[in-house]
Amino acid sequence: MTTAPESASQACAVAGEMIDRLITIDFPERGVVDLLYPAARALLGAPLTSTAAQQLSENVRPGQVVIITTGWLDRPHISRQIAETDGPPGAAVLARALHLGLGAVPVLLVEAEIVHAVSAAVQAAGLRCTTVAEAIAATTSTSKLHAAAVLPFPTDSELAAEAAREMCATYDIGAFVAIEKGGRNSRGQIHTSRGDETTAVLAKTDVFVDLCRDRGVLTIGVGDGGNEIGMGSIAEALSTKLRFADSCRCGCGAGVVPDQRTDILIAATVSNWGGYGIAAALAVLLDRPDLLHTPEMEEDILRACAREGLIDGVSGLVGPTADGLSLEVHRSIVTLLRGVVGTGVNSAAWN
Amino acid sequence: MTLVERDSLISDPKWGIGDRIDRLISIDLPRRGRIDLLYPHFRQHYGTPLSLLAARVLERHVRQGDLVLIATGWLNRPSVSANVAESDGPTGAAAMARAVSIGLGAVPVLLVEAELVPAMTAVVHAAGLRCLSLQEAVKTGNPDVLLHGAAVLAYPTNREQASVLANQLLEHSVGAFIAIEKGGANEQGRVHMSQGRECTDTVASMDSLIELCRARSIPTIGIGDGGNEIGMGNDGGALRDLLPYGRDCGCGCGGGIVPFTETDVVLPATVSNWGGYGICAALAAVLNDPRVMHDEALEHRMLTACCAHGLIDGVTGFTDPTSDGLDESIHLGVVTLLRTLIGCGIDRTAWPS
Repeated sequence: MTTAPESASQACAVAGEMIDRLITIDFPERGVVDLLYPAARALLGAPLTSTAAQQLSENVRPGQVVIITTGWLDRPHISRQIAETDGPPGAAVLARALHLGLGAVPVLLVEAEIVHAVSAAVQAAGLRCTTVAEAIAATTSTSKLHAAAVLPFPTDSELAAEAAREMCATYDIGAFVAIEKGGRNSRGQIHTSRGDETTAVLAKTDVFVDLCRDRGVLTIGVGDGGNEIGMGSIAEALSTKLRFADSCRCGCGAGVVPDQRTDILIAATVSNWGGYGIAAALAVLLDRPDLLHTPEMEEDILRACAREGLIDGVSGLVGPTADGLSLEVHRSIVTLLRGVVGTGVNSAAWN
Repeated sequence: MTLVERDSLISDPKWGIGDRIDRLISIDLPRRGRIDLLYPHFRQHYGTPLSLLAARVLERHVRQGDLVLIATGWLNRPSVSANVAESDGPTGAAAMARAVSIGLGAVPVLLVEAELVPAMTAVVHAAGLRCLSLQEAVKTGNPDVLLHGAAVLAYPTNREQASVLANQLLEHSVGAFIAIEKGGANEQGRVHMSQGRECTDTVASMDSLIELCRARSIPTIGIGDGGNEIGMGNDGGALRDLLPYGRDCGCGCGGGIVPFTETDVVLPATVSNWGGYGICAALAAVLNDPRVMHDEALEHRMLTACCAHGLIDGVTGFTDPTSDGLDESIHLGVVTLLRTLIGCGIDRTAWPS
């Protein structure tokens, strides 16, 4: 049977269905992704990861800054230094893909306490961490240098708003992506998925959402719990269905779902996988299999996170795991995503 | 015949796991375009996760010491040599043999073409079961002998001879029949490759055995990935109108590639082996015994045994430790994720309830 050659965007949409399916299988039986994904999918009417990849490739020009925000200080009652491994690897992998595929300059915004850990993850993903100015200069360097910046971002709302306005005025921003990043609800509070308030310690990177919309800059949120930046897009669907969607445990009365909407929302079983899924879809769209990282690099990134003291947010242990899933699970997801991109798959005989 | 009550599956505590298993093993990585036709059709027909349905049928019908008959094997380069067969089928068959042995105390009996007996034996040994004669293997149905046995039998391509052996096998207590990646004859008695080429003369003839099993209410299960395998004729052959070559194979026999004989349950998968693994995983979930699902080390051993004994990757045509054109790493990844789905390595108590 012969079929007409498909366009890159058709190929990306076909791959997007498979990528979405793979990254939303509820391995931990948490029961949340089966609620989040259909709602996010209904919003777009198309696979989430391929839509994100297509929008990124249409919006981001070489040399533009892409803001990627992540990080969750998730044991603040014990120490502000403690943060988790879900988020930084997804952000690092996406930074790598957007840089290699679209020529973007990734600027990662995180809490001051985890700049070193996120830098380690980004460098394990192949990008040298520098200042923003240096990373921009690297894009035109005659001797190759692939660079990204990891910056501390204020937790104070007013300082955050000021910093965001300054960045928007200073840099040519192509897109904003939040991966596993808390967003404020209608009362200005940020919550854990367990319904506890955790506003004070988190960087208020959600200030970019409105700023970007005003400037026509693409915004993408990636999450796995319903309390992350982007989930405001499906607030109605989560109401009465997601635990703590309507009222949290802190008494603010406004629930864990953030107030703001992003242009695209990606729901995944593990937030990191949402980042990997966008990278995989971009690899298909641009026919650049190298944009998606390897299982070996996945291991390097998770080990780099562990060496810098990031914990698995579920198990509470320091180790190369995330969300209670072993290293082998994350490596296998990367292997199968690579299969979707075409690596390790010989299908010539079927055609 | 009602093998399991559908209502009992709808409230099955393992429904979610079965559903996730099905989702994983039906992702069309090779972009062959078939599984997206096959799976939704049969899922709708049966109305339940298909890996779970197969596992519940096995759990409820197979008793300690019963034979479980597992047919596989495809001699797929007959134009070159009668001895060349592929690795898709044998590892799924061996994994299920191991699963019904460990999980149900059954004695697996693998039915393959005579040319395939040595390679199938090697793969079953790689899966941990000692291959014996049928009479010897039957004795391992007694748990006290402390030997996990299996038999690999040469099954005739000739219909009359096949019927004789089918009757002999059913003199034993048979718990179930499973066909994995096994060509099935259409209404004209012809077996075809998925793209229409006819290959009847080299394929062991399973129809008489399936008919005998069904007449005795012994459950029959088919696993395939193309539409031309045993099991794909279920639902009254409805696939004939959905599939390329479904009505007309093009070989001139006047039928299509979809088999005539039906089985009680069918599980379509991206790669037939994965269908077998999916049933192993679902059976492990149903029995609350993760040992029933093999691990990555055993998968590696089986794939290595395949190529060491001359089985080819049916897509690439190489004797590599690959299957259906997919690298070993992908099969290992699927095994890892199936194990994760049944809870291996997961501390569910760590999630907030």
